[in-house]
Amino acid sequence: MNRLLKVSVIVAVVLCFGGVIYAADSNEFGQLLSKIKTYDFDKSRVDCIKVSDMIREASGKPEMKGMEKQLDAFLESDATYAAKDFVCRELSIAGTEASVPALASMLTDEKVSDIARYALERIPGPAVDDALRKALPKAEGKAKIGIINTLGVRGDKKAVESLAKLTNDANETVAVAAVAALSRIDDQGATDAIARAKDKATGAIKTAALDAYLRCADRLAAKGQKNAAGAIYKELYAANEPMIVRVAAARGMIETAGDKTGEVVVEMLKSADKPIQTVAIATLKEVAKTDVIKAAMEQIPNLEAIQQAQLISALADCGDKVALPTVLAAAKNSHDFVRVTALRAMGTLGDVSSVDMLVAAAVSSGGEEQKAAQESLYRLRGPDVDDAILKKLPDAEPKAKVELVRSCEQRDIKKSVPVLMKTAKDADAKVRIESIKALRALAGPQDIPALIELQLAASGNDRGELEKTVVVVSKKIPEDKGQGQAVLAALPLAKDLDAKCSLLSVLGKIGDESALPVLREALGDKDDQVKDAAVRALSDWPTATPAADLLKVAQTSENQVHKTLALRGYVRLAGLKSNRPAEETMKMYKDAMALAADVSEKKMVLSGLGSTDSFEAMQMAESYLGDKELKEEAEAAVMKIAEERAKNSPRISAQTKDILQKVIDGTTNESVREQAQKLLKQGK
Amino acid sequence: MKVNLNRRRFLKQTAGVAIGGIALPYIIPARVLGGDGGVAPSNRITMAGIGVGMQGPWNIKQFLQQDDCKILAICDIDKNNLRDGVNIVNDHYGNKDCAGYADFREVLARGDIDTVVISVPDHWHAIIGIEAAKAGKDIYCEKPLSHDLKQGRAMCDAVKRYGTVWQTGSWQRSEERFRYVCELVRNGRIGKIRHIEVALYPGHRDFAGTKGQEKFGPPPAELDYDTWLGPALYAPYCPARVHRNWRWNLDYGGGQLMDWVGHHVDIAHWSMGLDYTGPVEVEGKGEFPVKGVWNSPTDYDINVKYADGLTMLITSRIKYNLGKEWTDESGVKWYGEKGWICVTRGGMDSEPKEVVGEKIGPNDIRLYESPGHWRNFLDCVKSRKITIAPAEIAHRSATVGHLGQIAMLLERKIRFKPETEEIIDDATAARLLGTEMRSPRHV
Repeated sequence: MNRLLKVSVIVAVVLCFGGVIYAADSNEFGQLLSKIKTYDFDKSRVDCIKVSDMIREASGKPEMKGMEKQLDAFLESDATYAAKDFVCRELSIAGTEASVPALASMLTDEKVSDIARYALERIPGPAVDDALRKALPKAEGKAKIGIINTLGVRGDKKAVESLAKLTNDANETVAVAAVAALSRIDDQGATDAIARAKDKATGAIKTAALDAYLRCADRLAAKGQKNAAGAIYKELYAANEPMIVRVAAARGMIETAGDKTGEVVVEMLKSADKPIQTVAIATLKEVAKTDVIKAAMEQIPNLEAIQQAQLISALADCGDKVALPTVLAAAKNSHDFVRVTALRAMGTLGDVSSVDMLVAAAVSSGGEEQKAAQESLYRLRGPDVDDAILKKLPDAEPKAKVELVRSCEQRDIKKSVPVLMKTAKDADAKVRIESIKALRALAGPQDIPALIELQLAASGNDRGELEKTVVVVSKKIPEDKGQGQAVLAALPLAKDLDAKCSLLSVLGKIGDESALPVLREALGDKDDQVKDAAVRALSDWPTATPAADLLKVAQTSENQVHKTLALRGYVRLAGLKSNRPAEETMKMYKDAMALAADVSEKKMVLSGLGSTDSFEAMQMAESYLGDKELKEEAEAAVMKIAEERAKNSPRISAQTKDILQKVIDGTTNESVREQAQKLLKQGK
Repeated sequence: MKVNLNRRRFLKQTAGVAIGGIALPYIIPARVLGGDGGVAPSNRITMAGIGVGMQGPWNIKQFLQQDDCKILAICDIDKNNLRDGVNIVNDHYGNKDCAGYADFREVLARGDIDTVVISVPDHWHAIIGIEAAKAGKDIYCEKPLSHDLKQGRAMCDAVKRYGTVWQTGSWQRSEERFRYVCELVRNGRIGKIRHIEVALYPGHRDFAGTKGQEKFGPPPAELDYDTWLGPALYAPYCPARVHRNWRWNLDYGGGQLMDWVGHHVDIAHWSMGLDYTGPVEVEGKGEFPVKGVWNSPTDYDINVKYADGLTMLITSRIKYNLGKEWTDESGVKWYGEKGWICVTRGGMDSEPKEVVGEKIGPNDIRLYESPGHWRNFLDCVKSRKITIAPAEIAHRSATVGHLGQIAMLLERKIRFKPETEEIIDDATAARLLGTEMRSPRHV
């Protein structure tokens, strides 16, 4: 109830006797009803909502009786269709058998029959059913079908006889509706009528009757009357019925078979019809008892390969380990898709005893089969699986070792780190690389010194992978806890320049600011290799902090390689996300452009500029639109900046429009022109 | 229905559907056979799209990307939509083979079609879904599953009866991020969960650009409006009522609540192992527009309670900002004894921070892993396994929304028994579990 009305009722309660309250509310209600008499779907619902509020408030109270009378009278008035529709919806919630006469009078009128049923279908009580049955013979067309449907929804047992007759109606739609309605009535007479219709009818009525008969069986089964349900299913399982009906019946037969479920499943698996075999397989999980599973498993040799695969998959879903030997055997099947299915099933059904088999399968196969074996190895459950993997790892053949190392990573076996530190030095290169990658995921900060030791002792590809591992593991340390400390501490241990440069490279990627003095010092090292490593390390820095150092190298170095590297690094750092003012970023790009010695370096600067979200950046890019050699990069930068800015502000400034127009006029790239035109159009 | 359908032919073909529709799913995909990735045309799962107004084209495009699926037909009661939908398919295949239909029953009668994608307004889901199941088709259907609870139950019963493979369009289940977060929750990484917050969107989004176009008049020639209304009570045509924006009228959709309940409440249920049950109490308040064709609530708070004491707030008043690109998003936030986890389509976050990032190990509870929502459907059509978003699960998440709608309408707490799907001690509220269908429609 809205607040105003609520207040009026409270005042009335305080000041008046009950009868007076009713009169007052009734008056107000009546006035509101008068107001909504001309309501239409496109008008304000304010008064309708007030009516709803009053009805909700009065629900269950004596005054509702009078209000309901007024609603009934409203239905007999000359109110609009929309207003009556509204009132019927209200009666569907609050109406009682008292409203039946008013609503029943609308039932045979096709124009208003639906809205009357909207209310009647929900109103409880036998008077509603009586009215519907009484109206049924008088109604025609859609009104009649609607009444049939509502009798079905209400499950009116007294309507069975009338509905049974209507299953023979000359109008097929009426007959189909009658059959469907009967299926909703929990009554033996209704079931019998459907059975008769099923045997007698043809066409759409027969199709509806078969569905209806299945519904009756399902209801009986749900009520625990499994024998009665089973009899219907068995009848419908007959070979002359449509396959979809037989499939549904087969499912019902399995579910109601009780102690004989295993026998029924076997019978279905022996069927010559594949859909029947499959329904038995698909239902297995729902009836999964060990004896049923065993009975099903015994049929595997008699099934075609595709059904074998389906059954193995179903066995995995059942989760009963009794199926494990069968699944293991299937993993050697001559059909590869059966083997794949079996290997996948191992992930669910397997245990510690499956490790060898899965490793062997992963080693000896490829494609989907290998993937299935690997994934199952990663998913095997049990407290002893990890220990078994660790035990087998040191002495395994190289290919098996690779699979076991991968499983350490995928299974997140943290205690495998000491073993992996050893296999990271294995004689086999693949084993070493996989071990180093696994350590990236599994090692912790306490393992960094040992990892650095490996790094310094390694060479070639191994060292590169170890550098990545040291960076990743170092970054597991909180930022303020010295992510680079272990590497800094190791610098004096570097026995040669390569080792030292390797550590400098790692420091750059970690980005611990306490390493900056070391790297700055290295920039001034007497050895070019160290200088080179320092420039590269600073260029890899995760923030723009060392930008000034790189600029200085780019401006002052006498080594052209170092100048170029430093400029690239500087442009990279300019493009990193930062809180510095836009003008500082612009200055960085201008400095870079001033230092760019050739076209490729200028293109690099323009490419970086494109990721700068400022009008000034766009203007700078614009200034190169006329340069034949840089035109393409300049256009790309302008478009990238303009599009990014358009995301935040759909309106485009006049200056931006001018620049976009310049792109449109000058470009030879059709896609860029279309892009620019689209932006201009959007920005209007 | 206005479109002519020869009854005799319908029956004959329906009888054939059963066999045709069941036969093809025995094909195992070439990728399992270890082939070169290509699929012979005869091995393809055949499909028809029913409804190609908004989500339909999107779904069709997803299936067109699957090599082992062949779309044979499109059905829509709007001739313009039908034309565009057929063109999408023909353009993809580079031919003119895709058939167009206005009557879904003609599609279901085709024995050479194995599966249908139903992307029609909510009030049509039950009728088409049940008829398709009866015809032996496997079904991909948009969420929310149903327009009311009783229709949802009837759909689940039919799907079970006929052994239909059913995938609901709750595709977040097939996204790694959502599964991962659910696994974190399920494995107790933030302790026992006491409360879940589900943030959904407020208001009405004008998907069709027809906001305010409420002047009643004759429907356009291309639209079979009476069929469009279908089981809903008669109401005069206006553009704001129909395409894309139908969801804002409670006769055809369920507003933002029902549009999203099949995504985020679905995820909440999945995380808590509530897939096959429902709440015991639902209380709600909504703000309903007082005029206009769009009458679904624009703001709402639904308080939900489950049997074990878990509470859930479904609200339009909270937003999350976790994504790099997306902001003010809807999503789910779990509150546990040891912290919280939040997930949206744009990102995820937790407190303690490191919870998001923890690995799910082999001995942890692992949830159903789908290779992709549309892919999962096709795989299950072949294996006959249950999909990641079957009808029963979708029905349970939709139920929360249906009860929320009833609670908002009556402005009182609803007590519910999920085992029997009955409202307890409130005969009036119980009336609202089902809705009459305009004649001659029925399920």
